[in-house]
Amino acid sequence: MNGATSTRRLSGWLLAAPALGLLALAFLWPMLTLARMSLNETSDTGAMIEAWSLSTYARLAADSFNWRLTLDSLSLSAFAATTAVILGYPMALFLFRTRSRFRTLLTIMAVAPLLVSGTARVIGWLAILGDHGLINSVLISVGLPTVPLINNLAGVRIGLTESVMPYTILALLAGFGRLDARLEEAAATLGARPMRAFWRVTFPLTIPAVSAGWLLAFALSISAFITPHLMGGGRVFVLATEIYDAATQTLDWPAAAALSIYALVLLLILMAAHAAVTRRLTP
Amino acid sequence: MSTGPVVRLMAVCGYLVLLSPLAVVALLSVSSGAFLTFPPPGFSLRWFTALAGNADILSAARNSAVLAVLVTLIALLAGFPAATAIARERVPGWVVLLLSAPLLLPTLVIGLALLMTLQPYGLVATWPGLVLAHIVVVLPFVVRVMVSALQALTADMEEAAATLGAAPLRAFLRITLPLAMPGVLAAATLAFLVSFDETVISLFLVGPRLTTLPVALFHYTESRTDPLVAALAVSLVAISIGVIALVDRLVGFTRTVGHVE
Amino acid sequence: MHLELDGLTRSYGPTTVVDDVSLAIEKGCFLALLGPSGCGKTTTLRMIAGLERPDAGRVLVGGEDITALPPYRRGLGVVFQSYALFPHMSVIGNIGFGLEMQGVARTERQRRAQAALELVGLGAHAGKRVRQLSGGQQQRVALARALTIEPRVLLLDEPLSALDAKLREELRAEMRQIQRRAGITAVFVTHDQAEALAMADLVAVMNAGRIEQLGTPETVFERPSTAFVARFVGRSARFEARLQDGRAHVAGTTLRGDGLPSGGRADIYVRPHRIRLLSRDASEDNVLDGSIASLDYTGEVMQVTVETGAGRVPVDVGTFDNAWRSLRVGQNVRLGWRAADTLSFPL
Repeated sequence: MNGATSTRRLSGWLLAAPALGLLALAFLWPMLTLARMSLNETSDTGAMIEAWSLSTYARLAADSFNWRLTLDSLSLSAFAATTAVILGYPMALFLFRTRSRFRTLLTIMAVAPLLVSGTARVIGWLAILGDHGLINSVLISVGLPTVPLINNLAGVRIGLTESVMPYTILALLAGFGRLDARLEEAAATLGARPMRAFWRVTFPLTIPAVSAGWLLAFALSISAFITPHLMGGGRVFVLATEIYDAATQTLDWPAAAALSIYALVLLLILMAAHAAVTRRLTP
Repeated sequence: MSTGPVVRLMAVCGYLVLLSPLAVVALLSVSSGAFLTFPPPGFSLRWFTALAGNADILSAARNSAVLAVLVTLIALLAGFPAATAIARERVPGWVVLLLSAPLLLPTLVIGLALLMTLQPYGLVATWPGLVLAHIVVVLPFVVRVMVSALQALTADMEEAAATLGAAPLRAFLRITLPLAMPGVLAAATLAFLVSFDETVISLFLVGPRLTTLPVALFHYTESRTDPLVAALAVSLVAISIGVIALVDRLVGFTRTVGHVE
Repeated sequence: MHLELDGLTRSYGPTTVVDDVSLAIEKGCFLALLGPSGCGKTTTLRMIAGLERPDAGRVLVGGEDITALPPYRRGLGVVFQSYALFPHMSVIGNIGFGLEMQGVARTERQRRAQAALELVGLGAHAGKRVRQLSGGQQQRVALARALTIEPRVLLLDEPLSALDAKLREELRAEMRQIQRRAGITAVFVTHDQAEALAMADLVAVMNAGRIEQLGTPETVFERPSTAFVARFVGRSARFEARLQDGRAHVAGTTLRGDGLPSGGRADIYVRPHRIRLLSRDASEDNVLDGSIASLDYTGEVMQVTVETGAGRVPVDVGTFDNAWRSLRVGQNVRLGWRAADTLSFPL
């Protein structure tokens, strides 16, 4: 290591300093504050008490509601991720293979929903799934009873699935991009018909992409707030909505902070578990 | 290999699920009715007119635009030098990971953390507070886009310029900057859009005196009474598309993406 | 000596990439740095250009120590492997860039850049954008750009590796011609030994950061000084032998060579074109019996692989007469070569 290298390094750090400074100010410091807040306590009257204790965590852990909450969040996210992958896979496959001249346009259409804010999409769903919305209007017109699809779990499931679909499609497309088209051709020359070639050769090779897409959708679903809050009508409880309520309604900041830290740790554990499982299953 | 009919059918179903809410919102925005019923009773532009006349929403729109411009500028000023350092490997590899960290966390948690941090200083519902809040999620995008643009293009070109006698500053002005410009524009556009559409973090940091357009939309949807929300949503999307189209017109995104590759 | 490298050393962490490299060449000499990937040839070139700082050692051009100078003050022309042409400038803009940096006036710049463009045969393409040119044309532009600044030394980093075989051969000859006419000292990095042998006045064969041999193409090819050079440059027949009394013993046969050590073990190499197929009554210093295992016709030469008691031996039989036509796989043959052509390297 000579003088030239160390001046290079120094100039590098100077260049990165403003960005790192902003990061420290806007991200690191708040995260530390959050962690610190989780160690405070709440009195019975709801006032915050400065402390260095784990009693808030204990309080939350003792409440069985929070365990139900965790389970519901996990199952909802798993549903959304799985359905998004199932619906997204044919779309990604189609986009990848099609020779249509609308290919670029169709790909943009599949990803465009990301441009639209989550709130806007909820409005659309409310109009489709609402009591006077599209689906129920059709049901009424043929004389069938209406189905409640908003302000409940069903609505949140549908909305959440749709909101993560663009992400799964992107992840799957990225994975397909790494496929070698000649492998299916090789299978064909060995006598496999298209369906079999697909299931025996192509599909297994896309499993890593499917897995990555699923994980992405799952992580996004667990953190999702807008869709459960707006489409659940106050009746669907997930981690995100609880954190929000604790922070802005009951103003129990220590609890909100502790739940946030809990959610982050949960995410970490899930990612680690996924990585371990993937490593086990990859040939 | 072409796609079979089964795949095509399933893909169509997928598209239906994916795009129906967007189509419905678009149609609702021109509904003549007073409720979120679908199909709409008739068509009219009354809700767009109502939007234009709503002072609160207009001020929120103004705030969002100004905020987005401010945040974009700051992110570019801080992000470009950092991206240069990263792309030329003048800082260790983990720096880019650290700068990307905010993208890994739920915006809800980030918003909450910022609320707890800024409230004791009275910075909630203030411009500095909101700028800081948006920077958190915008800066990582800006850095990543510019790093990839710089990496793809100019490594040995800067060296070539040096061997042809260009001192570092001249090489930067004549070679690096012009070649990085498409990447900078792509980053700026992305920064503007991310900030303009940012909902959840802003939710924690706005107040009656200072709010943003996405938050206004959010609160209106909570009470969900009329198609005004649809008109507002469509306007938001239209602005986003407008920005992209404008930049594409000026620079050409296909060229930008081609360059970045 | 026009270009001198004195003990250049460079490490990345625990790996020493260039290990005490020294050489000196005269003005106008075309030096090839030849070696496998990772041998340090590119790093050496970059240190000459000033794009990398050596940990130790000096670079001298025309007697002047330029080791401490940054690249933009060395006055050396570099042709990069990827050409590194500026996409946002026209062809003529690219070529004139070095002159621009020197502060040359616009009209003079255009004139000289156009002249350089004519020199490489692309005079008509001045106003084009780089991406409108083919690979071979881009290569020529890169060369013209480096030459326009009238550099003291021209440095070329595998400039032909991105081109197909035919184009490579054409450009090879052109480059050499241009360099000779300009009388410019040049250092050329390549992993292609045929290229190095064809183009260079001197070849430095590098391996693991060190120069294994520095010599003319003929010396390096016919008289490799180490086993690595013998293996890397050209093909060879190889035997492991036990040495005794100045002879090499291989699988029941005794081989003669000039100046073989008296004892120990050695790697014996013989060049395929130095081996001939002997008729029944012909004699030679070294004779091996074997049968033909394969015949590979490559146009100019018939590559014959002979299975002998000592192993597989490649033999090159010229196609200028008709002897090669009567060869058959499985045929018994006798191989012979002179003692002077036995190469030996201690094990």
